[in-house]
Amino acid sequence: MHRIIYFLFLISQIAIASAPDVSRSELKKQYEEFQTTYSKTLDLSKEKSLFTKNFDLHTKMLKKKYALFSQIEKTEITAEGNQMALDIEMLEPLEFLASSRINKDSCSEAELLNEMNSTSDVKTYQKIKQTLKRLCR
Amino acid sequence: MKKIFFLVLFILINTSADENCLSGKRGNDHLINQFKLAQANSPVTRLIAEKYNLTEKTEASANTAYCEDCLTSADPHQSLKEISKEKTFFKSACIEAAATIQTGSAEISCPDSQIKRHQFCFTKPLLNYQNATLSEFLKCLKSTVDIPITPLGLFEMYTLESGFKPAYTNGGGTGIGQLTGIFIKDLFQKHRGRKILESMSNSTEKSCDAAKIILLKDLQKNPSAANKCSFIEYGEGMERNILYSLSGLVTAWEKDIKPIMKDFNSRNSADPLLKRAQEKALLNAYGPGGRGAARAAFIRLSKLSPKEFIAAMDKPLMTAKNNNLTTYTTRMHKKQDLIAKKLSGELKSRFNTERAAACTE
Repeated sequence: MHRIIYFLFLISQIAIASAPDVSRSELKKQYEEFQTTYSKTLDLSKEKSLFTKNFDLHTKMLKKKYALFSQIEKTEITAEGNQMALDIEMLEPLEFLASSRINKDSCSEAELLNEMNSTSDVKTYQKIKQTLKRLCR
Repeated sequence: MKKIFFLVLFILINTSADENCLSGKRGNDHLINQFKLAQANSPVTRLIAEKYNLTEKTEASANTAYCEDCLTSADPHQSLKEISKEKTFFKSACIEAAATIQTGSAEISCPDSQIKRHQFCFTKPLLNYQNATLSEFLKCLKSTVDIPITPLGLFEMYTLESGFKPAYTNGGGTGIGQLTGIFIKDLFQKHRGRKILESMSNSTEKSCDAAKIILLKDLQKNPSAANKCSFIEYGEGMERNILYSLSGLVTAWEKDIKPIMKDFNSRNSADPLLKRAQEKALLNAYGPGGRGAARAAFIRLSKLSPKEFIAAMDKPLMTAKNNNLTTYTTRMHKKQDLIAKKLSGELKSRFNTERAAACTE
């Protein structure tokens, strides 16, 4: 009887000890998937037709991935989660443009939104700046 | 005879104390002269200075009244309190401490817009005027919109931006609130800040009278960010800078932060620290970290309680690609550590436990 109890105790300890690793590897996987989709989303904007057609779908997908990540993360605040939240925020100027008719007013509004992000993540800001130039030509 | 001697001595001591530079070089009177000129010519300066008893005439009569009472009354401070009609929000000792901290090196002289290490002498009367201007515009703003900004948060913000000094320029930022071109542009956009400027300019509140003089002009013709003196010079510039920095906070609150806070607010509606958490999230949006980072910081930390949220905002929140989402609030917190070193006596011990809250009236 003692042996069984000891055995069960051992198993529970192993399960507890390995749980963070499982969630850690799951978080890593989720983060990498998010980053792949993110790059694809930015690339979408290279062509106006692709952008207007698919951008909304991509951002929804990214938000879903972040929500799932956040669920696995629970109360923890990881650097990867922080990155994903920032990545989504950086897309807002494009998201705004995708939800409006592309014209002078919407372009100038999107550009202003992007300018306000200029120090949040310099590389992404530059990429989006170029994209906006292309889309608003 | 004795009475007259003490009266003259008192005025002399007071005058020489006013001439001491809190920062900059003694005798480098550019700002002092600019302020004198503004007191004579600017309706904005006159209005605020008179309301807060900062005009030379009122100051002298205040001193006389104070001193006469010194010799006769049991509580000489009482009469001075009665003379001062309008209250300021910040303790003088604290903003004096903030003004002695080095915040930048390049200053702009006006009207020639020359940028160099001028080391303008910055005195207590200038500081008192800025305290009054800030208090007046904050009263105006609070009468117009509901925004979770308090004197405590503003003390932290202006201490970091400029140490309450008007002429600094640093990395694109100008003046007391270190305004940037994009910040000013945002304020005048129909879908962003313009509404708040318009509602202040239409206000019938007395506290908005001075602000209205500036706004009615600016809404007709937007001032150019390139003309830095319009955001620095006493008379309208320094005042405009304060007004715009406060209005920019409203824009950031209404358009960027409040919309993403709904769940957090309803989850923590009974928590007394909710307002402070909101203020921290908002101040982070004012700083150089940018809008995206400020919003992301809030989204990430919103899973915490307001108490944990406030504490977390004071520490770097790094992303996997090494961006800090709390650049501004982290810097703000560090700067306040320097204030503690500059204070003394009871205020210092209060500051050590209450931090910036000890610096508000």
